[in-house]
Amino acid sequence: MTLMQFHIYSDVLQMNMDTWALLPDRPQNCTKPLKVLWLLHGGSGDQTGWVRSTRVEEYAAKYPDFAVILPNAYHSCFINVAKGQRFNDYIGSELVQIMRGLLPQLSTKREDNWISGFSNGGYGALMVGLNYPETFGVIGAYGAGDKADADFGYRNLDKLRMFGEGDMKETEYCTRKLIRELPASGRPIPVVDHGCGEFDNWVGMNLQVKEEFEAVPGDPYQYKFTLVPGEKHSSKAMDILIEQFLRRMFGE
Amino acid sequence: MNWIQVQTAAEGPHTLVGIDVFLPGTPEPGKRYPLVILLHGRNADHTEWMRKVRLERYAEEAGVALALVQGNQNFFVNSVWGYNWGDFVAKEVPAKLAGWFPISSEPEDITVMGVDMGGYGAMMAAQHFPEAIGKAVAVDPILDVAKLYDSGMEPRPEYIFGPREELEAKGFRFSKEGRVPVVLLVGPDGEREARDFAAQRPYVRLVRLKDRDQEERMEEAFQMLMGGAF
Repeated sequence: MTLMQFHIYSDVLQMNMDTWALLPDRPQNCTKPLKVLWLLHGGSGDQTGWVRSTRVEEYAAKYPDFAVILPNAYHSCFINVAKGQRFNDYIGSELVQIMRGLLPQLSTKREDNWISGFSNGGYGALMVGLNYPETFGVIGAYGAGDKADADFGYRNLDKLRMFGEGDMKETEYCTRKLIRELPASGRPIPVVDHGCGEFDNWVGMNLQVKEEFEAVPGDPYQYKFTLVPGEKHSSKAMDILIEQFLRRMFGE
Repeated sequence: MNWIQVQTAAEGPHTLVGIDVFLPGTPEPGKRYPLVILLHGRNADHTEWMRKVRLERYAEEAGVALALVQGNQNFFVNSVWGYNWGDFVAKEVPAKLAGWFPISSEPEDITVMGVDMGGYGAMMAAQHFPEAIGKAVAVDPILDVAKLYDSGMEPRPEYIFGPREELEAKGFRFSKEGRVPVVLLVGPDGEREARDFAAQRPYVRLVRLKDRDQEERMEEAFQMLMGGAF
């Protein structure tokens, strides 16, 4: 595929931001609007992470009329940081508009826009996808727990900066609250694919999120969960889960 | 402007090529921007134009998209060994860019501009692909590649152009007639050669620039193009 490194200005963040994108090599031959995978990086990572540590480009290249967009959001968890910038709005709203302006081939249909990520990016995919369900029709959240269930005892300052003071449960940062409340809101509901490694350090948090999805009456998220046998919170787990996600999305 | 570093598979030259693209700040929906393709000199790469000239300040105001194309040392022509850099510049780049970005694919909206080797390439694009581009702008171009055969140039010019005796027949020298307008900008040192060259070619408009520094001439030429001087 063709790799593009975008340097764009964000009004929401009030600074220049980097975004990578993988596009078809022969766009002049594309007959349909491109389906888009918005793919979010992990905790200390950036826009380069997925391309460098997985074979996502090779997997994506199998499908025609398809683009992958890899934003950077620094160490933000892709949320509107309590004492910082609004990264959730940047990814979910502003960046989508900017990229659609610069790449007019991108489909604007919600069912063609899928948001995914691993680790912090998995949490981010849930937080962006559940806050912007009109934009994203599908969430692929991997190695993804709810930060409201996390133990921040060992990095208190980080927690204060990102999520504010006090218990995060039932706040805007609580994924499980969003999962519970979206179906009653009358807004569209994304399809959710979720998974992690069998020996992921945070497998318990993943399972808590799984329970929350499964407790929603009627399964409006068409929820699927995968436990990757033998894998940890690893780039191999990322690789396996993203390939499986693409196969599922393209009906293989 | 938005700066986009593109790495793509180039079919003509059978290799991977870098293109730096600049697009105006917030593209208006449905608008297709005119395009200037910028070609670098023989000792440089596709970053040359953005490092030497304040491209963005002029292009943003003019509402023009830019593409700085990598050509290594191949003079942006279809070489005798089958590396088709000429096809790539004049046909493939515009088609790809209009596919990905809000950029016009109309030939009259496409200008090819270059310096040194890239100036030669821009003029060659005008000569060989008159149906594909609107005009060529050349700053201090190499006007006669026959002279390179005695220059000690590496890689040898034969590898691109073939034998010196066949340059004319293979279309690597500039013809007396041309369908695409060419603007030729030179400094004091190149003036005499350029004057003789332009005098025999009605499609060439000669512009003399006073500055002795090539970077200044590149800036002035680009500024003139963006200002609609030609």
